[in-house]
Amino acid sequence: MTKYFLVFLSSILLASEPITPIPKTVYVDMKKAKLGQELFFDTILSRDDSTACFSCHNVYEGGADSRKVSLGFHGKKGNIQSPTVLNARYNFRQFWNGRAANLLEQADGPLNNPAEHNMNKKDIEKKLNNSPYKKKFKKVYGTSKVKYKDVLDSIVAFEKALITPNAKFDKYLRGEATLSKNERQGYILFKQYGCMSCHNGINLGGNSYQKMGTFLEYKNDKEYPDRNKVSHHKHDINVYKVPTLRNISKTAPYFHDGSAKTLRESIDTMAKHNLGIYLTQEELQSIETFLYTLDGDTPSILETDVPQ
Amino acid sequence: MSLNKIIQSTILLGVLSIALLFSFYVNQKQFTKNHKEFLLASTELQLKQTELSNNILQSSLKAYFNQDLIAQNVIQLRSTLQKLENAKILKNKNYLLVKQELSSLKEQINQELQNVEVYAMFNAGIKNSMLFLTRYIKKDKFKKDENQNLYLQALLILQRIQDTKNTLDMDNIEGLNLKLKTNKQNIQKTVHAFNAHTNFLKRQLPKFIDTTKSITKNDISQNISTLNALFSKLALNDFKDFDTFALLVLIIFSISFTLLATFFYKYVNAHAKLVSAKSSLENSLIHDELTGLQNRKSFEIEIAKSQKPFVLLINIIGFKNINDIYGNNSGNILLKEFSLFLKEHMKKQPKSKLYRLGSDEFAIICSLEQTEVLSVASTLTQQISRHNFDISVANINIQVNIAINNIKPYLENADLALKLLKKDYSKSILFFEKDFEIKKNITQALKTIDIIKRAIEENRIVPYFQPIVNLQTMKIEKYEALIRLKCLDGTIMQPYQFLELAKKSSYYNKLTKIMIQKTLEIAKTYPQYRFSINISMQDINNNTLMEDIFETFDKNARISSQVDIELLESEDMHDKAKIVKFIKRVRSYGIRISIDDFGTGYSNFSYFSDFEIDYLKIDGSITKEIASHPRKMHIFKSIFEFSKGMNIDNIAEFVENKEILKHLQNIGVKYGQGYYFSKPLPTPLSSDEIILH
Repeated sequence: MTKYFLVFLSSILLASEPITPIPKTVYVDMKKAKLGQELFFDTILSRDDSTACFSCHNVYEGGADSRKVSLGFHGKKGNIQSPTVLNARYNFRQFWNGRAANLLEQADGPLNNPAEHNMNKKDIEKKLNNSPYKKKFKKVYGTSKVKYKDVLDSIVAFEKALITPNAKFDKYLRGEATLSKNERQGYILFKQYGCMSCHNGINLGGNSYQKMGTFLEYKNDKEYPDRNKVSHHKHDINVYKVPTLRNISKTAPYFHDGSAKTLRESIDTMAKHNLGIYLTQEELQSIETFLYTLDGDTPSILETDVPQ
Repeated sequence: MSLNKIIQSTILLGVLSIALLFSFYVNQKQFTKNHKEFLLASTELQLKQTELSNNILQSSLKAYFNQDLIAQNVIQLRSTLQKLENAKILKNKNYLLVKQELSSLKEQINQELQNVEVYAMFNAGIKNSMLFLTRYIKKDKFKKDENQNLYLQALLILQRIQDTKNTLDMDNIEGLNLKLKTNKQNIQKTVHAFNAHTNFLKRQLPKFIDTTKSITKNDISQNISTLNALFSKLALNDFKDFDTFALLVLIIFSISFTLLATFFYKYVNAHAKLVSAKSSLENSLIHDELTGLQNRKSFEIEIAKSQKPFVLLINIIGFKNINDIYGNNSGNILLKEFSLFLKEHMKKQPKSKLYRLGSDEFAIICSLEQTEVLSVASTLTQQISRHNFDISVANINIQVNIAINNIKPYLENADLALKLLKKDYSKSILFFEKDFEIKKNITQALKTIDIIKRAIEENRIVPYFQPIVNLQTMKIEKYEALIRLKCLDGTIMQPYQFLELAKKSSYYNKLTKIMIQKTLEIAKTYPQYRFSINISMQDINNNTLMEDIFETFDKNARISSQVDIELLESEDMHDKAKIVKFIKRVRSYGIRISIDDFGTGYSNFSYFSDFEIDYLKIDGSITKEIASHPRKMHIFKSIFEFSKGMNIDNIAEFVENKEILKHLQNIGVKYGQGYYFSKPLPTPLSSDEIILH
């Protein structure tokens, strides 16, 4: 009887791969995307010409900020570790606490955040209308004056082009590559220890919320904008959107608070706090090796120059 | 209501029904579209809801599940809900209930979606711990025989937890100690880890069950069905309204259509009647009633479109006589018989058409060669003359005249030829020739000649008398007899209106004869005057007339001596011998000769040497201008002097006023005549006194 039960358990646990590869190409309106790209790199979108989107989202290196928290307007510190913008289009919601339903809502956030770009709709329009952007927008949107919604639209178009296809693991999923023994071991552990319960789907994350410290309580700093700040539910305290693991090797430091400086440290922390498991050094190393296979190509849009 | 009003109402009804039909079409289309939009969205909502439930179930069962599917479901559900809320049909206040229902459904779904997030959170943790435990108990430490009891206990705990999760019933672990206990140091750590996870599960399971129940046990799906049912029920009313409307439109349309159809039917009938009436009218217009042949109108139509036709104009000689003798009825029978005969005869000429132009005049239009036409005509005349026409009271023979023409204007020319033919008894067929060009006046001339002819027959040719006054004594000594034609209405025709024409006809001589006879009659009554009569060369040349005249003179020898003859100058006075002979002969009766209208035209002084002349009548055109034109006076005087030398007396015409008279008297002219003295009068005056005005 017990034997059958175990067979049963095994059968339901061993389901097909719940991770899907990133498409090699996606359709993006390139005119808009190139305009958005220019804006993305331009500090004109901040009040003191100090901050660009790029300042905190280094799209050439993981798309996030290597600082624990980002510095924005007048060097003000942000309150959370900057999440990557790469593959963000595949997240079910945006921001650590998912307060934005999509990229459009997201882009609106930092621009208006006093600690980041410290701008507003009116000022952005005014600034851009007194710049060469006025012509560029007319070319792309056919408007006589730059409109804020088009500013966001072009940035979103650019962000939608920021995909990192052809990671080794994606090739493996498509049967185009084989994982090394160690990588494969890491992937098996990744599944067996239940990492995949949350890190699944196209982005290996980014499709659900999870409590930081499900199993073992994680320190709670009320300063951080967790899910509770949105839903005001008790059970949402210390709950964040599960981050993507794509290009994870390049987005240190880790977690919302940037507390884990290395990838291995973050795996260890996660195992303890969310899985109730203590991983051996070999296991940590294997999983880390597996995670490296999630590094994809630099988005193709970045390989062409920004139009001047 | 008048027919017009009924038609107007019908048209109005038709337009109305079309407008209603159009509005029905548009509204119904819009409504159907909106209706479909809502139903599609609500069906989609149902579908996504089911899909979400299904995905949640799978995510609960499977260790590894792609939560992108759930995330997508959530996003789709939200957007579908939005679509439903914005559905156009809900703006209609009839669907207020649906809107309210939808609003509460939205709240429910939003709650559900929140629960889904929480579920995913708990699900992952519980799954992970169970996954951990499932593997963990297979570890060697548990499997050792000495730990058999511990292993079985752990297995039981795990099984119960599994049951609890699957049945969502905490009773499965009710009262069960989920913690393992052991004194063995070597597996103390293993047991501790096991207990940590079961403890975690014990804490998490109630929350998981609550959340899962709230998702799986909710009645959202049912509520969506209820919403659909409510919507369909309300929509049914709208559809019913549309049905009613459609029925109304159909009724109106049917009525207007029926009316239109009726009108159309009536119109077609009326039109058919009209067409038949028109055709019979047309038939009667182009056909001759009596003979059934086509009439003059048809002839004109046919001739207008014919190319180079020959026109044969046939006329029955003496038809009037037949009418007079046998009566009009028989005349009509003859015309019918004659028509039949012509018809029968012309059958041989398929290229010809037969017409009755009027009375006894028939026409044939044919396109044949000239020789053929002539032969047709001659055959026809012969056959007609040989044919016995049965006019019921008798069998008669008739003769016809046939005039042929192929020169425009066809009928007029043929008519002319026929008229000429009627006068010429020697021929019965005449081909029109261009030489008949006199035809322009000829119609008028023929008419005038007819007038003359009738005037002669009816004794309406009369002489008028203009006094000729002795200018010395101022007494009337003579009268000039001037011809006049009394018309039937009593008006008098002047010679210039008919005399020229009469000269060209055979009647001229008769006129002269009548003038002589009637003047002689008058002269008998007025022995105190002389009467001058105009005689022309044409008269002199007519031997028969001359004989008649002289016979008359002979019979009235005494009165004849009262007569003067005015010889009209003309170009054919070349036969001097004849004139000399004539003058000599008349003078033997005591008749005096005067030359008329001297001073114009052919005035020739040779007359004076050749002819024995008594008077010279100086032309009026000279006389009337002697007062105003010295040259005329000079001519006048020259003629006067010349006449005086020849011992010839002058008579001045056109004495129109006192002044002329004075001049004439001064010159010493013997006679004068003119309006100053008197107009020509029906009878001479009994007194020889002139009353001057």
